Amino acid sequence: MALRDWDLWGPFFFIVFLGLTLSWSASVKKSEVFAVAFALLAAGAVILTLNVLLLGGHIVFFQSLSLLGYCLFPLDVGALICMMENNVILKMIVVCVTLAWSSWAAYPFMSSAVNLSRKALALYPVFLMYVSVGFLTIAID
Amino acid sequence: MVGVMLVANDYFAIEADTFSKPAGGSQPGSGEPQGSGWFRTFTIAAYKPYFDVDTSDIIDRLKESLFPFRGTFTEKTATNPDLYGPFWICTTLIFVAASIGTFVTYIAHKLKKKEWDYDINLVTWSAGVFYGYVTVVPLILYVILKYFSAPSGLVQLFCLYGYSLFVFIPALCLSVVPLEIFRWVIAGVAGFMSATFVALNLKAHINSAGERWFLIVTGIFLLQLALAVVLKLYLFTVTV
Repeated sequence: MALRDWDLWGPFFFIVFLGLTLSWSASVKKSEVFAVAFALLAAGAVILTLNVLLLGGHIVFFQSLSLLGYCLFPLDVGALICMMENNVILKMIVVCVTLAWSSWAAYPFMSSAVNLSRKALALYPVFLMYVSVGFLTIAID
Repeated sequence: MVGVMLVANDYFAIEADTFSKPAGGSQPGSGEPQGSGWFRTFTIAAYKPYFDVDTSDIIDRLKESLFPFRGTFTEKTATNPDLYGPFWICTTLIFVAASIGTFVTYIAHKLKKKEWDYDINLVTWSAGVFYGYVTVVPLILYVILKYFSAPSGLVQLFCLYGYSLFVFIPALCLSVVPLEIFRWVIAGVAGFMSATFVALNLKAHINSAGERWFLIVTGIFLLQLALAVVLKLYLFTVTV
């Protein structure tokens, strides 16, 4: 399927775009926000993949990086909307929806990679990363 | 270009188990014995035994950490210490600490109708504190214990310290309540539980070491309490 033709340009673009959007939304310390967002996402993708491999899962390293990067697309859209909005409640709703969308996209790949008894161990970090990005999106104003 | 990428993809598919660079052009498959020497520490296979846990094991260990007076944690994890728990508990703690700290300052500023800006340093600071604490303190303890000839495995110490931090997650969540005295009580209780957990589990192990065990145990008890106090002071002291 499409996973065999992995590439890293898409993920790179999405991560940079998300970092830029968060940085533009921030009123102070813009460059620090970009740095933290970029580091969190890039290192997060690598660590999540290593996590699955260490738990004895069967995935290919770069395929997983590629997939996790592409699954950031809903969060990119959410961050863009939050940049133009100022209402906290609306931001929370938007972030929740895009977060659910991203997790729903990443779930099949991650859960099929590991043993059934360790599925939750592999999925929890994915959820944690998306929630922390979502939180960053809401908090930055 | 696509052909090259597909071939590269196949190459990586064979090496799903290892992440080391091929040495000297030979193709390391999972059937060959792992390379010798110092670069073994950079392969995934070297760390796999420390992640050999199921979801039910992790949940068991988390529950154990909430009952500090049992003192049975080291026995249960002696044969299978894991690094999954410590690493992800620390990471979750960083996120929870940063978000709760941010939320608390946000509420405090909004209540007084003042300007508020997101402080990204909270994330980096809490990352430094938690990762640093769980890495450095067990290392030092390992050296000290070796010196007093009561050696404990390094991974067991990482495991113990990692799980001891779990109780701070609910404590931080509860600290959102804006009552100062309540926050101090929560910090005290959590610090005490965490410190007792570490102390009792270590005491069972190093009782055989001789006369110095009391000093060591008291030392680490106080250190854990100090961590709780530092957390409370930095994250929840709001100057508006």
